[in-house]
Amino acid sequence: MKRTIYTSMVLLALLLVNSRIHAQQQTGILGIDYRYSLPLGSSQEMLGRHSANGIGASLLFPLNGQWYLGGETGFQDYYIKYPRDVYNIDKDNQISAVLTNSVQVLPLMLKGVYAPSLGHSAVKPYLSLAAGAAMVSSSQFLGEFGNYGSDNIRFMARGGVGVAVPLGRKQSYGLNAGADYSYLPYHLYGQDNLDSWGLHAGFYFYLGK
Amino acid sequence: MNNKSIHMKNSLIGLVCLLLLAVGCKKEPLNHLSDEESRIYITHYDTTANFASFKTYAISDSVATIVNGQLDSKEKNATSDAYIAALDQYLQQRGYTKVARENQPDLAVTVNKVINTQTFVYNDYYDYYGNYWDPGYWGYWGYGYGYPYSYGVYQVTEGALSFDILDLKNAATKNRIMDLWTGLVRGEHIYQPTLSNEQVGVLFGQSPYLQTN
Repeated sequence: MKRTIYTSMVLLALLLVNSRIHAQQQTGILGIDYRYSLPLGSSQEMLGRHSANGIGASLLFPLNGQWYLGGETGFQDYYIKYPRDVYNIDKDNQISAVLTNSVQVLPLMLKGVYAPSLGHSAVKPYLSLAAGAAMVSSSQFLGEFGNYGSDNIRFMARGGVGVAVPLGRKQSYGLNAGADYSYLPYHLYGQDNLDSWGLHAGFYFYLGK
Repeated sequence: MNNKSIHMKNSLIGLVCLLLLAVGCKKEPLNHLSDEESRIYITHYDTTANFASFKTYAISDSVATIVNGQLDSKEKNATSDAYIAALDQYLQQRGYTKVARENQPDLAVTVNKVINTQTFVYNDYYDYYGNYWDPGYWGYWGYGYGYPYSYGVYQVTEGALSFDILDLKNAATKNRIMDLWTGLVRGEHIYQPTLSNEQVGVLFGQSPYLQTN
């Protein structure tokens, strides 16, 4: 986990420097969302059926009136505890234990958004696509005994739809909500992926507007 | 640096702080386990043994306390009696008959409380705790112990309970007392008389091969 935090801090620092260059040319839009994640298929075995402990953030720069480009990051914490069961370690070795999985996903992706112009509509729909890396920290416990510090960086992509509701006289801030699908190949504990649906809601504002 | 840049920088620093806060809100698995859930029950056995070929057993009259690999003491009190009684109950349910150790039992059964100060991973905690009992205790002076399966030996910071079933019936032909089965309990507050029946029951529950009929 420490390595994950360190790596993410370095990457965010790079984003900070990069955004400073962009900021001198464009006005950025900073969005912060609460995220609710619904793991799909076999990934539920490792992640559980849902995670209500998540946050997302994006920084976008308008390319023109309809297209935006920037970055997206966030954090999602997954946790599942299975009732006591007997696990076969070897032919001659069995363990009865409560099994707990704990997984944290911290994405850092390039993000593009298309928001068609609908005139003076109060609600602005948009499509988004992001791709990049996710730092995945996972640990599995048998009772109170487990392995720690399994941190990995994996490819991650996310596509979504949503709506933005501009507010304020200058429409310099607003509300945002949507749904997305996250693709995250990941091989651990017999899993092939950590794919999930996500729901998010939050706010955004223009920097320096 | 213009106002936009300053605003952008401050916002991103705030974002980093927000992310750190979110990371700190991670649900810690160990903080969401009850004492019962913290415990693990490990069994290991000799797959070549025919447990049905053994009919009688004798059990130690006390619990050996082994501290950092050294036999520290043998304890006989209400707690040790509770664990010995639980073993008696489950062994007899599986068809074994208790005899005095002077009456040439087929099996010897020991209970050991193990206390280590180092940290290990769950399935490496095994040691050959059965051999802390002098073979002479079972009437086999001069014999050693033998183990047909290997353990990845490692330790933990807290204690464990180890239950061993040893082969006395074939000790003479094998020139050693073979360990046939080991049950190990680890976790929070494991050595309590009120838990003896439950803990021994879990170990026997995951060892269906342990029966004479």
